[in-house]
Amino acid sequence: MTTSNEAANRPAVVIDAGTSSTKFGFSGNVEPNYIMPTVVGLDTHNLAKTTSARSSTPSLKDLDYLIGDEALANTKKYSIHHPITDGQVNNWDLMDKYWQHCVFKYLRCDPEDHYFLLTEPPLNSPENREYTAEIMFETFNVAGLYIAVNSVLALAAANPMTGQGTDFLTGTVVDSGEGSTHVIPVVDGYVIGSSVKTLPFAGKDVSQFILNLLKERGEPLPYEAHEVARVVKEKHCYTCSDIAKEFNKHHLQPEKYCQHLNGKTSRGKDFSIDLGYERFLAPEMFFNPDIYTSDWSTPLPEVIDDAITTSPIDTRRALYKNIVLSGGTTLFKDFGRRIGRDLKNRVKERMSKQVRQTESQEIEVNVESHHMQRFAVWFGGSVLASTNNFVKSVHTKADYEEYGPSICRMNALFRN
Amino acid sequence: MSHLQVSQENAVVRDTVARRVKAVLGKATKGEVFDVKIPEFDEVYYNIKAEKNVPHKVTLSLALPKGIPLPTGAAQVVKQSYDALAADCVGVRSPSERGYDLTVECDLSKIQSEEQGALFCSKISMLRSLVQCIPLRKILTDLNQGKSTEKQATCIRYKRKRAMYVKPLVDSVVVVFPVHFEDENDATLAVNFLQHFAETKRTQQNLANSPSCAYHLNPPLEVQEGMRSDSTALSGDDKANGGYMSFSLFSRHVNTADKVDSVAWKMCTFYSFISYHIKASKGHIQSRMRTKADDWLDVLAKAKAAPPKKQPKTIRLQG
Repeated sequence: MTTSNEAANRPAVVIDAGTSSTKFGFSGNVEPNYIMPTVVGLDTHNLAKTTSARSSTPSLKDLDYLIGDEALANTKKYSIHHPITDGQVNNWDLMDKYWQHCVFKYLRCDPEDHYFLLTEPPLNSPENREYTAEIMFETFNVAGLYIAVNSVLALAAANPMTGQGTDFLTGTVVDSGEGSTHVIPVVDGYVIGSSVKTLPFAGKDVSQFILNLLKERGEPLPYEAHEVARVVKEKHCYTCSDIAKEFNKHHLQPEKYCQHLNGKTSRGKDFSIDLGYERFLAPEMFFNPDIYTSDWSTPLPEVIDDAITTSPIDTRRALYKNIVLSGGTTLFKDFGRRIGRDLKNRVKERMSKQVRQTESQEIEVNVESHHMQRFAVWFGGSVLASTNNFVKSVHTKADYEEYGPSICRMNALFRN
Repeated sequence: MSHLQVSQENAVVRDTVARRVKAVLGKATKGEVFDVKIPEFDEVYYNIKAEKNVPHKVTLSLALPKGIPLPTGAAQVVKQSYDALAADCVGVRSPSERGYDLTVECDLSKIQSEEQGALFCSKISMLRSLVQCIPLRKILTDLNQGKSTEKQATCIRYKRKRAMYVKPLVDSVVVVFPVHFEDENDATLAVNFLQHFAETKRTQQNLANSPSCAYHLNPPLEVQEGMRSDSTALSGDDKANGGYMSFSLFSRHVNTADKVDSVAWKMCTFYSFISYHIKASKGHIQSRMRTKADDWLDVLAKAKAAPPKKQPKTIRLQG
């Protein structure tokens, strides 16, 4: 019999399912083994509801589906469905299918032999956790399951070595991926739900903005313009300290600051475009949103400040002290530094207006940048799942059979 | 393809080595550092290591389940089959890495072209199939060459508590799987699935040439003796609770080296194949339950309570 002890000695499976992409792999590794889009491609002739869920005779066509990149590459035969929207699972049938392929086709492991660590967005409903537990224990027979809040994992990723007690689980997470940007204050591993703030733009808007700028200037864009914009965003953008000065620099010494992007299209044609202002203007949309949209004007540092000042008063210093970046859109050069500087100025200004300023200590503002930012959540999961405390906190199959899916409503924090 | 066939390649191994191959072909002097540990089904582990300063070296280690020894002659088989791709591209290190049964050192500088690189990555990721299927491949090759004689059934273990029994006969080889699942529900589904599997094979015209298979509730006669005399045989708690599945392989099924390879691998991964189908069936059942619950909720939402009876305002006199 597979005892839980055996599963504890094996690496856990860590699956971080996001709106646009899912990172999954085995704990103890530095990088996720797979990163693929969170999409399921179903056979178009086999429309989900009519043949599979309601008919009494299951057909083998149920097994005919693809996930991730493979699904996107075969859109002629398979129609694309998204199991997750806005961080929440909206279709459990699709999510079940997605997990099946993750486990059996890509990770190729026996789920009976491993503990699983899944992530959920902050403010996920307990019912969703129960659904997840039902699928994981009943369908997959996993040895154990732990559901962690993704922002807490991002915090754990920022300082994995100082994992003593829960002190290291206090901080503000700035999470910006492809689909959404959130600012989430976390105290002792608990999310302060009422203070979570959201910005209406993220990675895909940055790409769109770059595309708009390039089009406006009339650059000879190839057919795959979106792909080009993505490359520009990932490889050539940086955060500047002062937008007016930066414009001046580019204007005076274009040969020093302008770059060229050469490449080949998928049809084999060469193309070459010039890159100028968009290199620093694109990340600037987080600091001056007016340049991109008229619907939103609060810059990111101000949103962070709002999130912290609406949190309980005794936690604010700690939240200022540990601001952690997570997600691909926070990877711009000096992004963290700029946030730190703007935030510091804001806080200083507010403090100087206070009447009894002599009595108050200066507030320490600290923005952490680290090289695991891109898969911070997954990496945090990988680190936590390799600790001994994980084994103690995980809900085992035996627990599930004794108490039912409600045990997964609560996921105890790791404590020493 | 609707069935999930377990591929011989391990995609993580393939892609990780491919990154290094690409760097070497691009004449990089420094390589990305990695130390990736990944488990695979049936308690197999891989470890891929590479260092920064020697970009053309990658070390791949393989660990079989504890208590199952490496098949004899494994090192030689590995060396031979990779030498066919490029001379001296791999070397088997002895002793192997601690905690692993086999360590292969790949010398990527021997790879000349991109096609060769892709082929190499694909082949190196099949290391497990190459090693684990050695005993079965030998029996099947004997069958193909007409050297097969009737012998007692041998037990080939591929997971600590899972085994298959292989009984060579003069004209065929019988492979028997005792089916055991921890979970009672899984075992029930497995019985159902396997009975259906055998039935389909019997009745479908287009499967006439595939190996015949049968489902038994009790150990088939061919292997009974072998199971009794074998000390490593499954006993007690591990007795088959899902019956026995047997396949008869004839020489026409294994008349080329490729076929031997593919048959051996399919036999070795038969368990994973069933396991996946059981999980998929359970997923299907759950999705039907969810749909049903939604339907009932719809009905409930539509239903309105009947309006309460009003007292008539006028009084009707009786009589």
